[in-house]
Amino acid sequence: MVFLPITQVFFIIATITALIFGAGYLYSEGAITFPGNAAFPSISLNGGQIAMIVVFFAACLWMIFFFHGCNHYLLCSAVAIWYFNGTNGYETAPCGESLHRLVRFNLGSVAITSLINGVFFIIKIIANILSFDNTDNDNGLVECCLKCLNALFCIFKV
Amino acid sequence: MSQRSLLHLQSVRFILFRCLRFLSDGAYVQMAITGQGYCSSTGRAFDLITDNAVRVGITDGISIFFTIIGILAVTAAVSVASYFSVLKITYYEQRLSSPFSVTFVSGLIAFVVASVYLSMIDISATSVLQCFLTDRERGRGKVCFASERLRTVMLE
Repeated sequence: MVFLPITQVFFIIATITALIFGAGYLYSEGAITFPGNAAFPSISLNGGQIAMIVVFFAACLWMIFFFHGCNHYLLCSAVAIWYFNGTNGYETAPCGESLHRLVRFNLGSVAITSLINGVFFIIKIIANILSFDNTDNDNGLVECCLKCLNALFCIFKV
Repeated sequence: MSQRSLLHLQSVRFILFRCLRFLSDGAYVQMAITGQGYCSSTGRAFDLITDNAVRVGITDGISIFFTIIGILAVTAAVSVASYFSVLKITYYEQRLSSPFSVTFVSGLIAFVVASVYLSMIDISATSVLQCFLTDRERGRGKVCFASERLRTVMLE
């Protein structure tokens, strides 16, 4: 159990490293030009390459949350096994048993949970970036919708 | 927006995310106990939390308090120890001009490690509570699986 956070941190660092290198590699796949002999190149990506980068980012983010979710599940499951078996004198190995349960029964549920957590995380980031300001030309309905959107995203801001 | 309403909004946001986190923890425990999928586990966890809101709130509050105190204590202890180590140990005294960078880096590492390990205690406390509530619900008010000490603490 002591090694659980260390393993999680190791996996997350590995995923983030893969994310950075993979994103760099995908970005460099675009057409590189030097407009007007500029010192820094301009890289243009087509629609497919942009879609590839977005999918790659989403997959890596999901993986990070998935590792976190697995860690979370292992801990919760070990505690549950200890509670329902350990206190009554049954000989159990909570960590091994919870790993077995994770792989055998609940891997899909953990994946779904981590996907939902990842979506919430993305909403939080979008909420921090976006702000829907209304202009003088907007009518009452548009103004109301923008204010509602602002209020909705305000809840998710960090 | 006034300062007061901003404070209220932040409190609401904190409570909302704490509830989401708690629901997520509860869902994992329910998955482990019942072996059901995410949606039904979250539903069961939500029912348990709403039925025992006061007990859950108190346990969560105590858990947050001790987690924060623990993180602060570990970080402060490591920072102070590294500061005085750099000042008093001759080897470091001769090689380092200022102890602040060492203190900052060791404090940062201590903070990260303490946060990771104490969050485990936080999750474990939530899990024990969920198990206790499930046990009590299944036994129709009677707790069957908890140890005597845990039963005494939880039923007080």
